[in-house]
Amino acid sequence: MVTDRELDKLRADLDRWVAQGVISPARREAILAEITARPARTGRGGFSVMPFIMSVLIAAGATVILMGFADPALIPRPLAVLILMLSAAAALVLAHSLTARNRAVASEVAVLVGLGLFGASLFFITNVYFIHVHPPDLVAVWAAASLIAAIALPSRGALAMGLVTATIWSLMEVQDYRTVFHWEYLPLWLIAVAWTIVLRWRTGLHLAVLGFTAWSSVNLIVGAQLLGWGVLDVLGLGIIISTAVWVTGRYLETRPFPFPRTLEYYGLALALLHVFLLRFYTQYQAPYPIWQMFAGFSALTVVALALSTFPRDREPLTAVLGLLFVGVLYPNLAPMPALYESLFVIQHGLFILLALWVTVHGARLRDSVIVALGLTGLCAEIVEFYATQTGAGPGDNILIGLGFVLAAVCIAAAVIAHRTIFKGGRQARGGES
Amino acid sequence: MTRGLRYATVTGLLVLALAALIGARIYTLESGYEIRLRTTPMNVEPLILGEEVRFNYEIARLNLTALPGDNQFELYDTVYVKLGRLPGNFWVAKSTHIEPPPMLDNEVVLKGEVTALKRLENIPPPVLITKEIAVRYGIERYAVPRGAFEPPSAFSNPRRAVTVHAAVNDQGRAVITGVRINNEFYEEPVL
Repeated sequence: MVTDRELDKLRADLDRWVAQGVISPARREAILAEITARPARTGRGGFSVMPFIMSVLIAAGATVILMGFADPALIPRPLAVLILMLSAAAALVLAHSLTARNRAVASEVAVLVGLGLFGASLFFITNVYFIHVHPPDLVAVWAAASLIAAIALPSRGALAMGLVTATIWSLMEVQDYRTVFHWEYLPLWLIAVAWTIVLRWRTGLHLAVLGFTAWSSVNLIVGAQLLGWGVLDVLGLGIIISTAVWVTGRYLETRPFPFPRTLEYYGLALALLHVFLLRFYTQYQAPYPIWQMFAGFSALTVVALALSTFPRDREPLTAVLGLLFVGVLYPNLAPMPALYESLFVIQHGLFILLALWVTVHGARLRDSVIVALGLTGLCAEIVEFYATQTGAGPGDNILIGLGFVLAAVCIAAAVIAHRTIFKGGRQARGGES
Repeated sequence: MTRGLRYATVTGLLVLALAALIGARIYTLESGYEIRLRTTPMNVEPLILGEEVRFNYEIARLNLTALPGDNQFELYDTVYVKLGRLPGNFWVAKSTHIEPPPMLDNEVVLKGEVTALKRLENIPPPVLITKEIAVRYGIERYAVPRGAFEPPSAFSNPRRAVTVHAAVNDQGRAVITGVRINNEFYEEPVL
């Protein structure tokens, strides 16, 4: 396959030759057809080696982050920082090289990996060098860098990363530091929305709406606290409303309604968001035991994911299994903390298997949203397991895991963004976009 | 601007941002005022492979009824703690402030964040007098360098006196420059 630039030059040459009468227009078309149909080059030339070298650098950066968080003294700090800088740069060089080869999707993923490595490096460097920072500030830098990349390159993946990081920045400010009405989020959000409109990217607009809803929700929680409402009451209400939206979308799927699937996905995403928030807040809220909330979270997520992928005729069975899981299995573990602890790993393992299954199932259904949900769940659970095993506290989990979660979420967003992977999927599951 | 140049610009910006973090630390180490703080290793937490210690500094919990300066703080407020030097070259809190206070000789101001507080009771609102605050200075966590101290879990021994050496810059930010356990001293490398 030739690059865009080579193709443009060839077209210009052919046009000139046709004008000069050297070749006929039919011959011009034949040459173009022959050239564009050529398979990708696999030679050992210097240029084709570059992606390999860049990939090795990216892998080295990821390894440094994993090893460094496990033991900051394992790698000499200057070497670690050098590798991280090189790996973030390598990802962007790779993205450029892929764009030049017309590999748009792979290029977007490379941009996301580069920005993911950049964000994780911010946390890594402040951790290993003991630099005092206000953690949300790092996320704000991450969001700003992503938005700059989104506009300069331009890149939909970077825009998704910018939206997600900006929202997480705001959630951290409101949740961790009890900031009342974090309006600083709005300028970044507006820039992201404006650029989404410029790029005519509908999925990005959905992402922006979800981000804004999450922001409104946490600000509402703080506001409700000022009015004397309990956090758990507000979150519970959020879960009920989101679930109602989700179920309504599911119900309307067989009725003459224009956007049932959009409604369903919004409900599902918001329900999961509220359950995540519930899990976060219950770490600090007595008298709700953490383990119950943890169990509730996992069970609800399992049910939600399973229901979203199962065929309609099997939904009641899944719901019953889910309710049994929530209502029977976990409460009975309450008097047996040792057993609960021993099942911890098994529970993580089961969830990871389920998330993998959801991802594969989504790919089989050619539904990019289901794939994104599966990938997000998978990565979140891996991060949770990793953070649990490192013995980090709830606040530290954010620091340690954020890089991985965001990289994962954004790669999932890239999957949503590039529906070209799933061409024909809409026909398989209905025509709504 | 060509596509290549745009990618190069973004790449340069990302690398610069990372370098700036380390540059700020080097600046603090080079230009900062060195202080010594007495501390108790609160707990040693195993990472997957290494070891991390959390320092509980004497200045981490401040009794505001015994210190001059401001005493109306909210949770997560920024607090400027003025430190004074003791004869043994150790530094202790002299006053607490909401805004950066002026400094005299042998004084340093450390910037922190209020992480917990207790208020004086029996005082009607809206005057909320803070009795005690817990402050985080950003030098509480320390990943123990491999082979720096013998035996490896030196921090677990409660009978050992631990002193942290830190550099404080003009903005009140502190960076750990070294750790002493009894007579064993480990100096943090600049890079």
